[in-house]
This record gives sequence, C-alpha cells and structure tokens, in this order.
Amino acid sequence: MKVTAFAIAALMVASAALGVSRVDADPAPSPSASPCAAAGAGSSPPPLPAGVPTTPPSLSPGMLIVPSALPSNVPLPPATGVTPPPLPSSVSGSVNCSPAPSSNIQQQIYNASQQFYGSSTCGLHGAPGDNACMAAVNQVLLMAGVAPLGPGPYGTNYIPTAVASGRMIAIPQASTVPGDLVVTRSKDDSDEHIGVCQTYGCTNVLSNHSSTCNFSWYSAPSMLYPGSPFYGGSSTFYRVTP
Amino acid sequence: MKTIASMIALATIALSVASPAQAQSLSSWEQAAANTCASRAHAHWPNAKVLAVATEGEYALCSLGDQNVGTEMLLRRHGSYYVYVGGGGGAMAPSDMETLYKVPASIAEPLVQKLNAALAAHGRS
Repeated sequence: MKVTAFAIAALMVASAALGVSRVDADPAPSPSASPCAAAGAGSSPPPLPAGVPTTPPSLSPGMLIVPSALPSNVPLPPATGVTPPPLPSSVSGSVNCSPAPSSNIQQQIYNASQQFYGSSTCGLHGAPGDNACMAAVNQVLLMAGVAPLGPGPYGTNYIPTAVASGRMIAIPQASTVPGDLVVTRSKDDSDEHIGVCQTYGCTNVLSNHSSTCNFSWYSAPSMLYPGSPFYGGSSTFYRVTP
Repeated sequence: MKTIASMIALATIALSVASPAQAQSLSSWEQAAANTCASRAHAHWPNAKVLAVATEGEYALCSLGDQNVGTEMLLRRHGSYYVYVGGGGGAMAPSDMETLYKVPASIAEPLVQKLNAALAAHGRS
C-alpha cells in the first residue's frame, strides 16, 4: 500500500511537470498570433499584375457545335510582375488550419504555378488543349518536385481520377493558402475545372485557358464568366499531400 | 413451367427493346451521342460545343469545351436509350475509363485514340 501511494504521488508530480513542459513548448495561440491569421486567411490578396484578365472575353450565343467560332486571339497577360506572398514558416496544425501545409509543398506548388504561367498546354501530357486543366496542374506539381496526381509519370488528365487518388485532402476555403487546389463542379456534375489557388483564402485562381491552351486564366474560384457552366455549381478546396 | 415461360417472354421483350439501337449504324450512333452530349451540356452551359465524338462498340466519348473549360462525357448505349457513365474535367485516358468506369481496355484505348484524332482534325490539340 505504501509503495502504491508513493507511485501515485510520483505520477502526479510527473504529470504536473509534463504539463508545464507542454505549455512551454506549445503555448496556446492567442487570436493575434493564430497561424491562420498569420497565413493570411481572410486578409486581402496580393494585387494581380496589370493586364491580367480576371474574366475571359465573352462569346456570342449560338455557338453550339461550332469549334471554329472560338476566339482566336485572346490577349495574354505578361508573365512577370507577380510577387509570390511568402508562406509563414510557423504554420502548424494546432489551430483551425488542418491539415497543415506539409514541408512547404504548397509554397513550392505556388512558385511552380507562377513559373508555368503563360506556358502552352496544347497537347500537354496527351490531353487536348480544351481539356488540359488537370494536365496543367500535374505539370505544376512536377515542376514543384511533387509527385503528380494519378497513375503514370505525368499523372492523370482526368479530375475524378486525381480526386480518387487520396492525395487531395478537402479543406475549408478559409484555410487555403497559395498552392492549394480548387475544383469547381457544375450543378449537374457534368463538368469540372481545376486550378491553383494564388491567394490565402483562395480568392484568386490560376488555371488553364482552354481556347488558347495556355496556363494563364486568372479567375475567382467559382470559375464564373458569361456562359460559364458553373453557375449554381460548387467549389471544393484541396490540399495536396506528398 | 409457367415461371420459365414468363421469363422467356420477358427476355424477348428486353431483346426487342434493345434491337433498334443494336442495329443502329455507327454514324447514327455517333450523331446520337453528339446530340446527347450537347443537350446535357447546353442546359447548364450556353456556350458549350461538342468538339469531337468518337465511338467504339457500345461506347461513345464526347469532348465538350468552351473558352475556358473542357470536359469529357462517356456514354453507353443500352437498348434504345443512352446511359451517361461519367465525365467532368480534364481528358479521360484509357486507364481512367478502365478504373473508374469499368470500360474494357480493348474499347478504352481505341476510343481515346479516335477522339484525339477527331480533335486534331478540327484543329484542336
């Protein structure tokens, strides 16, 4: 009995010591010191460079089954002038930022997306220019040193396969950082588009511009523009894991 | 015996329903697939265009697009009606069709090749 009482007392002392140690090593975050706040969730996104279109040129109605009627000369913005916002080094998963950016992958993806900006996606990884949004994102991942999503050396060109890979973790929009991904889906699930978040909170997205087969379309995550199939649809935000 | 006779009768009805589409020519099946793709997309997407259609056996693969987004739709004809198997975002590869939609490899590979050739013929890479 004496031994048992001693053991209990020892355990209590040890627990207290551990508790102090934990607080020292991992203080409870104050609102002003929140990694989410530091990461810029809810803060103003960095301005886009001059000349970057936020909406594509509109098409006239009655263009069904008339491929040749696509605009042939959509002006492309300059590929320079964008300063990537740095990611904080102290972001952790201890607050509402789960899952936390892992090994700065998102920063690498963001940097690669800027590097790939303005590049042709015609026939990229076997995908036709109109359907190269997933191929473009996988190219960005490859440039970032991250394994592409889906099977094969270049990953899949098809969004459902990428989502089914298990490496895209759905996160709230408010938790997104530059380098996260957004998939926007039409109301009837017949269409999807994928792009790379450019801002904290993913207020701006860079993705493939199909008619020019060029990775140069800046848009809101809703992917709305005149005639967009995504009116009434939904956007899901993802963090890529290794 | 009565049950067996009923089953035979039902099977006969099923075959008779299936026969019109089974007898459909390749070109008409391709046209029907294009129409189905266009009507599905157009309801939600005013600027949608059918960029290319390819058929292989009972399957059709449509490439739809507009100025910023493209999609693929895989259709399968069942009897006299068409089943929308899947679609959405990016370009469907044979491996995608095999794993997601259980399309035989012998169908998936030529289907994608035909679609890409059709796109190239329209000047779309």
